[in-house]
Amino acid sequence: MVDAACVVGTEASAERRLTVTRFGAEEAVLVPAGDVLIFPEGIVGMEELREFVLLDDARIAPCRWLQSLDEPAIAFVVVAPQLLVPAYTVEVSEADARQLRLADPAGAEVWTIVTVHPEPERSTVNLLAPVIVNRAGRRGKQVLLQESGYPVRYPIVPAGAGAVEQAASAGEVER
Amino acid sequence: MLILSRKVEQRIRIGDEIEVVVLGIEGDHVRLGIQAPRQITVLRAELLKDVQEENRRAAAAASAPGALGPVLQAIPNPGSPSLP
Repeated sequence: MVDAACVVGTEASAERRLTVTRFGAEEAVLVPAGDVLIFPEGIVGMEELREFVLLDDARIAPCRWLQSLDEPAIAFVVVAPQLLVPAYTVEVSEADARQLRLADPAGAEVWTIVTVHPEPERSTVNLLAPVIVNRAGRRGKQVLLQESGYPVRYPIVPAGAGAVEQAASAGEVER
Repeated sequence: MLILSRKVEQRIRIGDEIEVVVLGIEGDHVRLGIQAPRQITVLRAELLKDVQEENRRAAAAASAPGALGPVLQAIPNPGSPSLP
């Protein structure tokens, strides 16, 4: 079996090459070794996935892909939660900070995972379990903010927005 | 599975470092206090299961992001490729 995420080049310029599927088409992605994020505990429910990379993609901006290197078929759409909930805050425990090799909390990036639903208004973002990334330390971890009260499924499209749009296109909205 | 009967304020010791105390019982609600070292994660099991399932759904949906367009439109875009 050929590992899709094989190491090429020398140590210094090592890149990981993988083939991913985006919008139904295969795409090649080259990941500089320095961009690889180690998730010591994997992702909740997918503990075997230990290496990820955050990929920019203009087609899904302002979201990004949190792409698995272990399993090229697995990628999450992630978004900065502050774009949806400006007051969103994360308390990183000492144990998590240690695991993330995070000396300064300001060095942490916070991403939340989007669940895309065929009906847009049912698409949600997981505010309860954000992904904390320490780029400098190349570590990542999904944490559960158990006491935060944040929901696992926070609607992205405001309730009613889709319905109003549909009603408007059907000419049912009076002005 | 080990099954123990405990009264309010009675404790259970798990290993050298974990202690569980029954704080109170009200109807079908039991309040438990758990003392454990910081590196031990204590979670409501149903919460963990919920996140596991949501992660699987999110991973599956991302491979067919057909409905992503309206979702992206609903997210205020700061217009900058670098996010906070």
